[in-house]
Amino acid sequence: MMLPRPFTYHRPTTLDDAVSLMARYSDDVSPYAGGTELLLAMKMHFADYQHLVDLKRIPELRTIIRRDDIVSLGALATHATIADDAIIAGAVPALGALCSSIANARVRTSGTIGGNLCFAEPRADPPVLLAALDAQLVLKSARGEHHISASQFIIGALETLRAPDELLLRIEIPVTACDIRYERVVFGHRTIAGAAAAIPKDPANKPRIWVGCIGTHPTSLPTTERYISANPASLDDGLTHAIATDIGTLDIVSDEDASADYRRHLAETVTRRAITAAADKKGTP
Amino acid sequence: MTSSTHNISMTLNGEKTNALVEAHTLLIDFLRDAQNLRGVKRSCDMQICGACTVLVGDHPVSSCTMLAVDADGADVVTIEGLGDRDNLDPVQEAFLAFGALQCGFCTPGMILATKALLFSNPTPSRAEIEHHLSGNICRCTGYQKIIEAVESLAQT
Repeated sequence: MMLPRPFTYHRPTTLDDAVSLMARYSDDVSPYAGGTELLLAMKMHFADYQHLVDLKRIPELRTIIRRDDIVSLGALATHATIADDAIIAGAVPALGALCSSIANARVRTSGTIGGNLCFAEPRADPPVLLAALDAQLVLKSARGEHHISASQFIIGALETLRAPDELLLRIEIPVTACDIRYERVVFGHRTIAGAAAAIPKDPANKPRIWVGCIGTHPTSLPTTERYISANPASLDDGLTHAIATDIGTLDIVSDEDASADYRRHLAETVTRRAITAAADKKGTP
Repeated sequence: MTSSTHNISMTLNGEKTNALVEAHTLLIDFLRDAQNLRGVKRSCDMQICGACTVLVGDHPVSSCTMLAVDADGADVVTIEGLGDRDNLDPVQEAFLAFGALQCGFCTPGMILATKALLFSNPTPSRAEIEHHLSGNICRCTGYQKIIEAVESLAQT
């Protein structure tokens, strides 16, 4: 039986109070959202904090709205909410589809998109897709607001650029004329390779191809992106070669779920599938 | 170091319940030990198996990975809050009619997961049933009968 070590629990009901609490206890505090990763880590005594600031009673952190060509996704939106949300279904259906199949129904009920990003579990799917979507993150502390690209936010396993006193407020996703797909292979309860492709309908715009769940954090595939830009209509051996070139440069982990060699093979396969599936949607609404 | 303590108030199986809990008390321990609701089963302790499933506001959660203080103000239902021996819940009736249990350890979680599915989608397809219940593990591997039992409820 596993129990978290004792801590002090704070439950602010306004964002200002939450920001103040994060500042006051910044030497030993964690924001607390769905708990699906954090409580597991605390139960295993892999993570310990003297203070948890529960964000679940701050309604404004849950909102999902669209303003022109930006979808603003509150950090506390749960996977289940995103999966069922009409704005997401209309503007970024690939994200809704992914959120409907993350983990299991209980994790989707509790787990939040912001918690998923901030915990930075190396096998999490949403950070890979959000990087390909070119999402921007808005963080806040008593020192002010801070914007950072989702593609730069995660810098290692369980490591992000969030400062200890910062809260992730929202994720801003640009709604662009792109065909977007996320493809993955799940073994047991975790993804062992995932890839996201965002291919612009206008070939003059740059495609974004990201792979994840194979190393410490999501990575872009620049050779593949250049190949698609140069050969928008041709998904042939040249594409396979470009993907292999990119993935050949990455540090890939071996663990109890998959060897590095197997992950490399799967990463190439899911990347090709994501690109092909996105490209197949060209011309369809 | 000690935890902060909190007065919480919830509707538990239909009854108003007040309690004083430590911050680090898990919902599963509050339910099993403080409330003596032993139908909440502890197994994997990591949100994988579904044996500790309870309903919070009609949604399924793993009580092993939720704090008791999180349930403050919530409507919580465990298997003890459904039917009793003489007056079974329709989901319990269906599991009985289809023989959808062997050792029974996963059954409270399976039944509560099914309740949650039917609250949100009263007429799930077989694929939707399989998708929704895929997070509840039956070590006896009695999935076929469980899915048939849930399908029978979806048709009514």
